[in-house]
Amino acid sequence: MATWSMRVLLPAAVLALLFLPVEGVPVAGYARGLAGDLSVTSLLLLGSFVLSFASGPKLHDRRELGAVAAFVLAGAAFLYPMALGLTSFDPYALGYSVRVRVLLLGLAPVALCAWFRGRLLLLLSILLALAAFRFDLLESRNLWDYLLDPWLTVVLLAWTGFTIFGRLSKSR
Amino acid sequence: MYTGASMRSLEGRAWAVVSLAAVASAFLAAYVNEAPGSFVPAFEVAPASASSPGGELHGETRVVSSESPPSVHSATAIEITGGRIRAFWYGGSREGAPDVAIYSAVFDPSSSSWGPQEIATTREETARDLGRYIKKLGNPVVARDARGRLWLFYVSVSLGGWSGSSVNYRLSEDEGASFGPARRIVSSPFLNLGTLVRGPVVPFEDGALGLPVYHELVGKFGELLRLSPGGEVLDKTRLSTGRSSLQPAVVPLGPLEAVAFLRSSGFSPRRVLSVRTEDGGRTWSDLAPTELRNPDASVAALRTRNGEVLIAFNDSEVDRGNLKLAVSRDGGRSFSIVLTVEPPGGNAPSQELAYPWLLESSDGAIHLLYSWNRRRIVHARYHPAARGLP
Repeated sequence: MATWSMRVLLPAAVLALLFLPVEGVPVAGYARGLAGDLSVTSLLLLGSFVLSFASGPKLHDRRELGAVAAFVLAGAAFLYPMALGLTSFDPYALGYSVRVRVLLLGLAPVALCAWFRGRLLLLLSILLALAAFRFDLLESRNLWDYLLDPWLTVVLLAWTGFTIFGRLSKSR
Repeated sequence: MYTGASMRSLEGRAWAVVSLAAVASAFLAAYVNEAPGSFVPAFEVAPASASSPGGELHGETRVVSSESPPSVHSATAIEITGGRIRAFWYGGSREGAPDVAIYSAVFDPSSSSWGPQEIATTREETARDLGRYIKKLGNPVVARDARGRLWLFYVSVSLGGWSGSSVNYRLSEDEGASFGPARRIVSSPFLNLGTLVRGPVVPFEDGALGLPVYHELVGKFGELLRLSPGGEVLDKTRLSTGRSSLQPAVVPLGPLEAVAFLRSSGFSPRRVLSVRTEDGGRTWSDLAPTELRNPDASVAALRTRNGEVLIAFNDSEVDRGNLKLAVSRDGGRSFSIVLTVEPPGGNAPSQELAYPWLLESSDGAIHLLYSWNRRRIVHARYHPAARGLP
C-alpha cells in the first residue's frame, strides 16, 4: 500500500510543484527557459516511463525503443549539422508550413515501415506528433520540433551506445 | 501485434486496419491543413519617384534617450501618424543586465523635438507572457504590417550569452503606445537558441512579413523568415552560410529583386558583405564583399523614394570611430560617400558611433538613429530641401 501510494503520490507531487509560480513564472517555466521545449516523442517516452513507474502499462521494450532511437538519430544526423549553417540547404525549413509537405512525404514511408514491422511506439510517436502539429499544440510551427529535440537525441544516443556495448560484452 | 501470425486473428486484423487508418488520417490532416503558399513571394516595393537624385545632405542632430539608464544601444524607428517618428532601443545599467528594458520615445516634426522616453517592454513582462524564465533582453526591431499594426520584435536570452538568443514580438494597435502579450518565434531546432534580429522588416505583397534574422550559435549567417499576419513562421531561407556574416539589412529593389548587406564577422577582406536574389528571396547569391569597409559592425540600408540605395556604415576596418552615409544609384553595386555623420560632441577621438538605423519619412526627410558611445541614442535628420526633392 505504501509503495502504491508512493508511486502515485510522488509523480503527482512533482507535477504540482512544477506549476508553483515563482515571481509570476511557474517552476516549469524556469526549466523551459533553460532547457527549451520537449518534442511530442520526448513527452510520449517520458509519459511511458512515468506510467511504468506507477505500475501502469509499459509501452516500451528494447525493440520498440530501438525503432524510435533509429528514427530519432537518423533524423538528428540529417537535421542538426545542416541547421547550424553548414550549407545553403536548410532541412529545418522543410518543417515549416510552406514546405512541410516535402517532410510529410519523407515521413510517410517511415510510418508505413513502422506499421508493417509492428513498431507501435514509433508509430504512436509519429501519429501523436502529426496530430499535435495539426492542432499547433507546441509553441513551434515546425514539424521537426514535434518529432525530435536535442535532449531526446542525447538520451537515445547514450541508450543506443549502452545497448550496443552491453550486447558486445555479452557476446564476448 | 498486427503482423505475421497475429494478422490471422480477427483482433489482429482490426488493429492493423485501425492503426493504419489513424496514421493515414494524421498524415492527410497535416497535409491538407498546410496551405502550399506562394512559392514565388514578391516584395512590396514602392515605385521610384521621378524626382532628381539627391544632392548634398544637410541636417541637424538631437539626443533621443535620457541620462538614465546609463547604457543604451540598438535603435530602431518607424513613422507613425501625424508624420511623427517612434523609436525603440534597449537600455539598462549595462548591456545584458537584468534591468535592461526596451525603451521608446516619439519625435514630433512640428516642434522638432523628442518626447520623454518610456518603457515599452520589460524582461519580467516577457517572462510572464511566455511562461518561461528570461535572463536578459536585446536588439529591438519595429515594423508595420499591411493592417497598420506595429510589430515590436526583440531578442531575449534565457541561457548563456547572445548566442543563446531567441526572437519575440509584441503587437500594437495604437501606434506603439501599448502592446499586446509577448509571443515567441521558434526559428532554430537547437532548443530555439541562437537567433537574433537587427535589420528592418521587408513586407511581401501577400501581406506576409519578411523578418531578416541572424544566427550566432556555432555558425554566423543570415536568414529571412516569412511570417504570416498571425505571426506564424511560414518559411525560412538562408541569406548566407558559414561563420562570417551577421545582421542582414535587406533592401528590396523590385518585386523579385533584392540586395542584402551583412556585417562582416571574420570575413576577409573586411568589407560590408552583400547577397542578391532575383526570385523574390527563394534563393540568394554567394556572399560577396562590397567596396565599403567594415570593422565587424552593424550597417543600415534603405531604398529611398527616388530609387537610390542609402547605406550607413563605419568606414574603417578596425573600429566604429566614424559613421558615414554612402549612396548607390545602381542597386547597391557601387557607392559614393555623401557625408560623415557629426556626433553630438564633434568628431572626438576614441568614440563609438554604432548600430545605425535609417528611415525615410513621408515628408522625404532621411532619419538616421545610432548609439553614441552606447550612452545615448542620437537622431540626425536630413531635410528634403537639401536632397533636391520637391
